Amino acid sequence: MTNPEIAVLMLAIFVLSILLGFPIWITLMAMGVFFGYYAYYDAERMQTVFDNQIFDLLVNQTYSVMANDVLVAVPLFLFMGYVVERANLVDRLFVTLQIAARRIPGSMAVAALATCALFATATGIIGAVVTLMGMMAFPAMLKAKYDTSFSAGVICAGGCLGILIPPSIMLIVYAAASNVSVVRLYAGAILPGFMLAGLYMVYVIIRAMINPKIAPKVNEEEVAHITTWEITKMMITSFFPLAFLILSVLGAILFGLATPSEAASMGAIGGLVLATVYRIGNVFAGRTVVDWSTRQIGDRMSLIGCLGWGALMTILGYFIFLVGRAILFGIIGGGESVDPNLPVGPGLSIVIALVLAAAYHVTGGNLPLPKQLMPTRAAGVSMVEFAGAGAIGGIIIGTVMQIYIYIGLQVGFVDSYLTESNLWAMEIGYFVGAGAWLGFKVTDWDRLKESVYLSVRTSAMVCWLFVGSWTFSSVFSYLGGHDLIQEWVLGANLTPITFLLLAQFIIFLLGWPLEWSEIIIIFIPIFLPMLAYFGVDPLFFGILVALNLQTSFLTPPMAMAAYYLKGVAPPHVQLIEIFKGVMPFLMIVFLAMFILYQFPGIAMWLPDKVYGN
Amino acid sequence: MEKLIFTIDNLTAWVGKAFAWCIMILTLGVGYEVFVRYVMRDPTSWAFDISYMMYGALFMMAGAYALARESHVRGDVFYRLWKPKTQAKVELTLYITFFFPGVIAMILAGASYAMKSWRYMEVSVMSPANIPIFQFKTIIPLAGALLLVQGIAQVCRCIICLRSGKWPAHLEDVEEMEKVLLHQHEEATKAGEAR
Repeated sequence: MTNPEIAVLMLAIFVLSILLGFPIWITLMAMGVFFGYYAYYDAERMQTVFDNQIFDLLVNQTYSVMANDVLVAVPLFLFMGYVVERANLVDRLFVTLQIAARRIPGSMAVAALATCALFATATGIIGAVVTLMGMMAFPAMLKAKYDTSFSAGVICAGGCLGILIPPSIMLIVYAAASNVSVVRLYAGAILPGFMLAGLYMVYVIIRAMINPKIAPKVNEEEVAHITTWEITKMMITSFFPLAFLILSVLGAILFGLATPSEAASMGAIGGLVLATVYRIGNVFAGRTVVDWSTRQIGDRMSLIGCLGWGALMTILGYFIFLVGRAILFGIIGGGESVDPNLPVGPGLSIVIALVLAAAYHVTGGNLPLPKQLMPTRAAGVSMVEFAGAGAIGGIIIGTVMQIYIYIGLQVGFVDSYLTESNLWAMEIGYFVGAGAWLGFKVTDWDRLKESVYLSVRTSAMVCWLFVGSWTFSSVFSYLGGHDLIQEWVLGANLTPITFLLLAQFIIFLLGWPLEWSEIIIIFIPIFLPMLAYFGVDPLFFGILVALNLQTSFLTPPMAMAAYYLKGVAPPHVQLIEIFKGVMPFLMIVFLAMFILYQFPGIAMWLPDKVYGN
Repeated sequence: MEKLIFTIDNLTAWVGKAFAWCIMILTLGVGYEVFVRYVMRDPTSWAFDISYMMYGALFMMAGAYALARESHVRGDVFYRLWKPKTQAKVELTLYITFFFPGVIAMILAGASYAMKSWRYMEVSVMSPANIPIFQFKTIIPLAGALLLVQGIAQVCRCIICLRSGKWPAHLEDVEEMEKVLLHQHEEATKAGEAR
């Protein structure tokens, strides 16, 4: 057998062994090692059985996954997703949107779609979205006499939008597999993503208008008494924070402010802040009871509390100043020449904080500041006390540091370049201590642990798949497999359109038994080298694939979305009803792909506009 | 044998979870970089190296943990339809023919790769901060060794399943939201039927 034939044999054996249900990365790695050992076998240069280049190749491929600067964003976005998922925002989101959309036909379906889309985009975890919505929105829709199939289709289809609308993990993985820049992919996927969500909504509204029986109107009396102000308030607490989180991550990427990993870390920090703020809100509202919210408080703030309050107010002031300055210079330009330091000399910030603390202590809280900034409840008092304790701890560390550096400079075991940071040591200790201890005490550590452990497991899943796949595919292409497949495809004299149709059809078929991660990491690289020949932009192809892979969750036998929904639905709901409901949405996905093919500008316009050609 | 499985599971889960906290260092480190670069306009020289090192360390060292928790993706179209005994037979064969050769290759090759790096105390070329990366390269054989140990536990699982016809239980651990909810729902339905 010639080498390319061996390569084809390797692919065939691999496809067969996938069906055995063994973890796929292990199969890939083993195939790579076995066939690579054969491919690189060189009897003359061999002194021991281990003298074979395949071993270097395996390690090099592993290391290139480990040091890949695109895949860094994967654990970060996963972490953001799990943090948001565990923060329990989804039920309030659905209720709010349902009330806000009450005048639209099929309002609950529209609200469910919007909730799914938003939540799926922020978390990117399809299973969680579909099960959560299946337990919360699905029974509510059935109770409101919505058609079973129709409601099931809405939830399944809506939940899958998370892998398309950026920031999505799938696009990062595609970027790592295809060397298209992540930011361009994200920019490209935004409009098609919103287009698909929009098409879903239009479909839902039209169906509800044509046939009101499947989506009855909301009982007017039930919602009539809710005022606009109340709705606004609900939107502010449930809808906007999540939308803001997504938009800020997207905005940071689109306006070139940050690389994907930087934007992802902003997203993760934003998610942590969001989760903590929600938790604090729940503690204040009495929905969550913790030991620091139920303690007795005296009439006057303790000294530690005053110190903490002063520190927090100073941090808040500086934060507003710094971010405001950054935004201001971002708008009017010329920020490069700005002195990066704080506007005041070292030590003065502590004085400001201490003066604020003293003022609070002397006046007993009767300061000419908004009353909202004064803690009155036990939880609030505890929080400023945490900050105060942290600030005291921090300043002690800072002082010790300062003395150490001072003595070190005299004696000579510290270099003189530390003098600058020496001056700031107390300052940093004071404020970082206050913020860190406060954050440490109010964080829900159980939830955080769960998010950390789940994100590391899912990252391991994605990234080990890359380790296996890159080993496999470099052996495959060394043997000439890619060239052979390319020869076949090019020999078939396809036109670009038939090639595109064929490729998408194969990906669609692969989506029946497989999930997106395997398809993108293992099979997409086979198509990629041919794109240039047919003049297809890999970015455009990627967006088409992203649309197409929506179906991989919805088509049997591995329709994960439908199974998750079936798993949590009331027992009388049949799987076949769910599939029936999903069908129209599958058609809409194909329609969206057709529209995208006819008007590639939907995908290409934004990246070209923002990043040029 | 079950004791051995749980000891190994505990070990790999402990290592995986310990390295999982790299995600916090990664998040805060990159977040700090964003802050000093875009707000203070004074970027660090180390954040980039730290970011990929934390990422690489966390996913590599969690490989065995993910294997124990069945988090690695399988093409389970047919697999999930089989009886546990058939599943165990197939898995046992594949662990011996695929898993151990692959992982042992990774350990041996990774060890010589890391040793080469240790010999001249290699530093990163990505930034001027001269951040050492030999310890980062050592992660490859270490992660391989963890996988090897976990593989032994997985083989034990297969053997138990072959004997008893049932997959042995896992340690209690945090699960994906959908699994938790599906399980809760199942329990509730069962309780409802019992009543």
